[in-house]
Amino acid sequence: MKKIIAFLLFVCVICSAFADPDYVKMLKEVDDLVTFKGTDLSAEYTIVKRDPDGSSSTTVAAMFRRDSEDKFVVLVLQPVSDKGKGYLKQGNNLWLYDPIGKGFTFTSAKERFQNSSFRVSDFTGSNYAGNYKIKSVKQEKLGKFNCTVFDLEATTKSVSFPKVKIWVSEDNLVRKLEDYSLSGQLMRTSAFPSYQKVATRWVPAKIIIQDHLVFRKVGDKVEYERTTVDIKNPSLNKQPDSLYTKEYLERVNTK
Amino acid sequence: MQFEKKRLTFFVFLSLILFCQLICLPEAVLAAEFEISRDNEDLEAEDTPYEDDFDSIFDDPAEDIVVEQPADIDYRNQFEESKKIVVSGDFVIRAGGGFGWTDEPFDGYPEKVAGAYSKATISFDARPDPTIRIFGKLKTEMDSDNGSDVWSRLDFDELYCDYNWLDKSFFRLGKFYMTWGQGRLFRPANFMEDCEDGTSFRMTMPNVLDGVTLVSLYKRYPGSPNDGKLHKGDVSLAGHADKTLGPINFSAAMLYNQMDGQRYSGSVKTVILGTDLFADYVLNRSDEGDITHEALAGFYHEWENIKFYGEYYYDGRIEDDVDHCVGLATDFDNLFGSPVGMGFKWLHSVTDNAGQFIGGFSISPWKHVKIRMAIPWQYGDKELDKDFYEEFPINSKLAFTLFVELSAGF
Repeated sequence: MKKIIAFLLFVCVICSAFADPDYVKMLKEVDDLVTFKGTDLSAEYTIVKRDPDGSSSTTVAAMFRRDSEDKFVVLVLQPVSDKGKGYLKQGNNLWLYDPIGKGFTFTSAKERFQNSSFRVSDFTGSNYAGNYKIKSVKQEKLGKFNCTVFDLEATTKSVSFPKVKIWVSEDNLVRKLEDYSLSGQLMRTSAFPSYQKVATRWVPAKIIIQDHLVFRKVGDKVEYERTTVDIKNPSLNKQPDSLYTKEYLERVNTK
Repeated sequence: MQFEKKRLTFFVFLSLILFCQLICLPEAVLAAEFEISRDNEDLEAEDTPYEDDFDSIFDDPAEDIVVEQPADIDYRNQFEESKKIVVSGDFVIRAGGGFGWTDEPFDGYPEKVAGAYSKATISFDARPDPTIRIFGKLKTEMDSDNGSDVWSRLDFDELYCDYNWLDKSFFRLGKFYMTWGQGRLFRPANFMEDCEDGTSFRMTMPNVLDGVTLVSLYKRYPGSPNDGKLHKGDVSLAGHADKTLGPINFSAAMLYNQMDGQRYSGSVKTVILGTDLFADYVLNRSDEGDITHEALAGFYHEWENIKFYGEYYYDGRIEDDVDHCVGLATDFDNLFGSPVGMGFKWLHSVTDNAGQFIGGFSISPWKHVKIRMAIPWQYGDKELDKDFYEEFPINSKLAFTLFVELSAGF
């Protein structure tokens, strides 16, 4: 009897040892595909937020990323009244320039961008393998995509959401993302229906985000705040080091 | 006297009308919003995907594409260069009145005051190429509370030239504002407070540490003769350095003036659970060698429409009058999605048991129009905020004020 139990334990250990690393490796590939280590990336983001009451607002921003140093700068192009308003992220820290107070606010990168469901942290590539551990994995069909669904739990407090569920298509790109609070409440659902390949890496072409905390009921249906992000004209032009500094935010501000 | 009476009657009448509107407005505003919602319901029901069909996005999505030639676009040009001079400005006119008591106890007949204030600014921003920028802001104002009923002389509020040397150093020369230190309510480490009244030369090296700044400030020292010559104390030299290590931002600064001596500061700042936590320490060394200390600790948290912050300040500049102060402030904007805002600011000297409190409420019933109500209250003899009465045409210990403000920018 003892030998049977020992054998079963041995089989379980062997199975888990072989099963998990494959998924961890897969997660690393998911991260690698959207991370630009050897170059800067810049692109134009058009962010349209539509409130449940039907009103909408549009923000156009230029984004500059240097993933090798975990830095990015986002500068607002439109609306014109906000032109030059900027965000600088260095590691987990975020700097905002306050043109009225002529100073900088130092805050966390979990903030909403221009009051939309898009978070400032969403401008970066992903690091699921480094920031989360796998709770469960299953296969699921998502429209035309055959997906592996990962249930992930954060191993660090620096992430925006402590629990996430991601749908990864066969080409190792995240197609759908659900963000949960610690208590398990669904906070946001994001769709990445299409990507664009730049050199050897990928950037989403469109992101659709549904905010589950902002909604209204229409009859027996629920309508959520929805943010659509279009990412255009990705560029790999090298940027100067001085771009990723607080001084640059102050310099380009127009107030 | 007759004119004063008429003016008072006019503003009391205006205040009454505003007050009546204020009572009626929330209903009117809510009614308007309700109508919009109803109008949209039919439209939205047809074209908005709901939770159930969110996944339909993936039924027939656009194909992934390969970008053969990444765009040769430098987005920086859109911020650093402009073929045209950008001109902008704003205009504010504020009128209203109030009543208050100049002495405690507040049981006598209150003093009534009415007045108006106007301000206009115009700015120009020229960026002929990425290395250079010229910015200027002109300001004029008319303040009937200070006895002025004509516009002040149009004067430069800011005027400076920026030069970017090979993306390694930035130079700024002219009249401009700078803020150092972490405090919002108390600002012991803001060594650059005076730079708005002088002419400064600033050199910043953004890639050294996380930014190193050197400043030379020229401002005529109080009491020095205006004979066109440079006098002792007219020039101050200052430096500031920043470095972020992990989740903590460290900064250090110093200021030297031949008359006032030296000032040194060290600051730390971090973010815990979305809240900024910070501390400043300041050491002042006078020209005679006397050393005094100041310290500040505080927090700042910002939700979507709410700002909340508090600070503790130790002021040891006067040996026999060491003070401990606390401050708390909050600002609610667009309360519950309505055009209503409110806030308060409270500064208190623990040692002198004196302080200042201001509670305010505002509503923006129409575009460009804001109605503000405020209750400024000063207790004890210590004035902690020198700008406390700036917005109020009444120099009372306790006052009730109501203003209507029209503002527009372009």
